[in-house]
Amino acid sequence: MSLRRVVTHSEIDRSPALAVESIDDDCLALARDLLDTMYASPGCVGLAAPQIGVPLRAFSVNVTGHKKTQICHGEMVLFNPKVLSGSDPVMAREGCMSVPELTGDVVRFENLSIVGIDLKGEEVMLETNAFEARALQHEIDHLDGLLFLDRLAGPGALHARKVYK
Amino acid sequence: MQRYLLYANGPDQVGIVASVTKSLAESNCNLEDSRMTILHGQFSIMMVISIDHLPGDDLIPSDSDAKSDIEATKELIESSLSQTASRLGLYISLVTLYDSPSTPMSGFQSNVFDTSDYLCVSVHGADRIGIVSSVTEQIAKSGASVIDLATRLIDSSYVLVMTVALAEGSSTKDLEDSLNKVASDLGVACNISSATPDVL
Repeated sequence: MSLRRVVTHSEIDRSPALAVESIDDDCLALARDLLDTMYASPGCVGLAAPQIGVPLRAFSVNVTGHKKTQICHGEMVLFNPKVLSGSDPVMAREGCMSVPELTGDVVRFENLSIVGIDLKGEEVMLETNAFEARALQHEIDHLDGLLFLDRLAGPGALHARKVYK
Repeated sequence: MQRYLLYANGPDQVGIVASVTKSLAESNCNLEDSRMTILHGQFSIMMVISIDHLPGDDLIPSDSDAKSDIEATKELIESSLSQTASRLGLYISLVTLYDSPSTPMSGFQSNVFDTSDYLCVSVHGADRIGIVSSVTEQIAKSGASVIDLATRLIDSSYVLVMTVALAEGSSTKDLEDSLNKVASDLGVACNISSATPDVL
């Protein structure tokens, strides 16, 4: 088990992360670190590699048991993810491990289709919705150097987090 | 009818809005647009109030010859609020709203921009002196106007979010390029997006 420090938004690398060429041992170790760090962080349902200081296109997500989850693919680690299509934009509140003190209202697609490479090195396509779709879009944004702070709906969309965990 | 801008601030506590608006209602004041917030435990509110006539009094003339009546009415409203202000520890002030310094206000001109040109500008990064001044100076240079603004300082991190109205004929791309240059010099991130339109 390897827990990594999550970098804050003022430290995070804003340049687009690099694509992974093949799923080697380093990628598997990265996947383990992402999952371990995600599970060790209360309330965390997703973590992107740039958040632990690794400039690669990889993230982990698991929205199992969350009250807003509908379609759920359980634990996943994806490399080189791309959004294929999205529909039905909706506004909802979200937070981020790299911005622990704030939350924001952000518009995301309610229905989402993405493609990526799994831990076996195989291409997978996922169709999902609701909270899992939001989490995936949030993590893919990290790979492009974007935080939810870049997608706020306006000044009234920025909020102090009520419960500091 | 005459309009005034009421500003109130003081230590936050339960019942401020209820008490202030009750006093205004008793003075026949109608509450129009308003905005309140709490910063570091300090309550603050701005509201536009309008009044046709004081309780049991005649209509307030709204021509430029009636300046003394308009100011007298303002003083009466302030006087009616003084007990509430004192009890709650509030600072309250009223400003008479005029179209120009010499002409009583004839219409409410809060929206002189096309809302379809509204942009959301988000700036964030390590805190330092001059982020807001540098970014807004560039916005002003482009002829754009800040419509709404919020900032948050958490530890050493700073977030600035604004709604900005573009000047007529100017391009989002030009503003984006100039703000990215300012942000880069400040070592902060800057992102511009179209402000979310109202959807029925």
